[in-house]
Amino acid sequence: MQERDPKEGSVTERDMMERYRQEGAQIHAPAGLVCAAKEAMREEQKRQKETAPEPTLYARRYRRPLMAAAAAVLCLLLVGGIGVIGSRRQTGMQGAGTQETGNAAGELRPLEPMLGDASLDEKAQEALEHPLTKPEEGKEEGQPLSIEKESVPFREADTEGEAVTVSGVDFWILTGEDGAWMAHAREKESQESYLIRVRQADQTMSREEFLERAYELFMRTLHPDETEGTAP
Amino acid sequence: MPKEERITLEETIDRYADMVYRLALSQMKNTADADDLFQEVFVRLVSHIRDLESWEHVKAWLLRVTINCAKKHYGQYWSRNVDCMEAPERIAGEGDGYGLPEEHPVWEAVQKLPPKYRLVIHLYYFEEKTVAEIAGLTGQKQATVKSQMHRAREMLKALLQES
Repeated sequence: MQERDPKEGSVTERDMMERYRQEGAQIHAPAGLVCAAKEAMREEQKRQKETAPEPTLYARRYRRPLMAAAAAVLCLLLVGGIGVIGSRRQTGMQGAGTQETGNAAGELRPLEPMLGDASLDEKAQEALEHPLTKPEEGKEEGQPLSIEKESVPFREADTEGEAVTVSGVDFWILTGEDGAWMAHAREKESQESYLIRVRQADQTMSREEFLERAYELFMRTLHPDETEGTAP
Repeated sequence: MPKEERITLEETIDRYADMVYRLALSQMKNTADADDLFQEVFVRLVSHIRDLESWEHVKAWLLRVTINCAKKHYGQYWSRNVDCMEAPERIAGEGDGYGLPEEHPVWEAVQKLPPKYRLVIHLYYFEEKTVAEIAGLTGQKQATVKSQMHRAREMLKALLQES
């Protein structure tokens, strides 16, 4: 666009704006106004200092670093807490496991001595496999029980006692005049009958132990070949 | 940034007094309101000086606050339909150092524009702000700013041709 003399009343846009800058650049803030503004600023500063509280840890200048530090501490506590909980759970589970194992073992243990509840057949088999004493032919040393063959088979009606069957062997358990255990034992298959007694009046032998030993002795006596080698 | 608060405030007003006053004058169109606006802006600066991190930040803050304070005055002005142009003699002849030349047709023509057109013209041609910066300062879209500038230039041309 052709430049024109501003006095003629037409100017280019660039000239127009350049003229605007030149005219505006000659405008300055009055000195009196600047002084008045400075005074007003000082008064405002003074007013704010008088009314504002003392800077504390919660002042704006401290707020950001304080918040950042608090956030960091919270994160550390959270991570640490999670770690502690996790380790406790693990040790707890391990402890619980051992306790469970122990309990399980403990629960198993009481069952063993309860011979009255356990299968007599199983206990009899165990007695044969693991005899308390190894019987030797002709020797009765260490054997608390005695066994002798009855010439006349006993009849349940002739005496009082308790009938117990262990692996095909009928026992008729009773106590003698001295209070010691004794039992008539008869194998169902062969119908051979033996009388088994405690040698000495051992009051400490329980019924279950007597029966176990009696079965062991009976079987060894009746079938020495079959029970040979089962003893440890 | 200067460390002591007193020096900082004084240094700020010494550096940017003319800039704030020109913008205030272009927006308010009379000296009394421009003076009030000028003082209000720098008193507000006392509360916010610590938040400003650089001189560029200070300059942008001053421009934004001047524009916002002027907008508050617009509501009072335009609702009362006040005649928006004082006699040029008052501006030039007060003897307070305003410094306008005897003939200032372009400045006069700009003062006749609507406030929002005056603002974009002043920020673009005098403060040499970009369209994006003007949009940020005024809270408008860039397309709006461009449209306002185009219309302002057209109006200015018409006003200057008439004069």
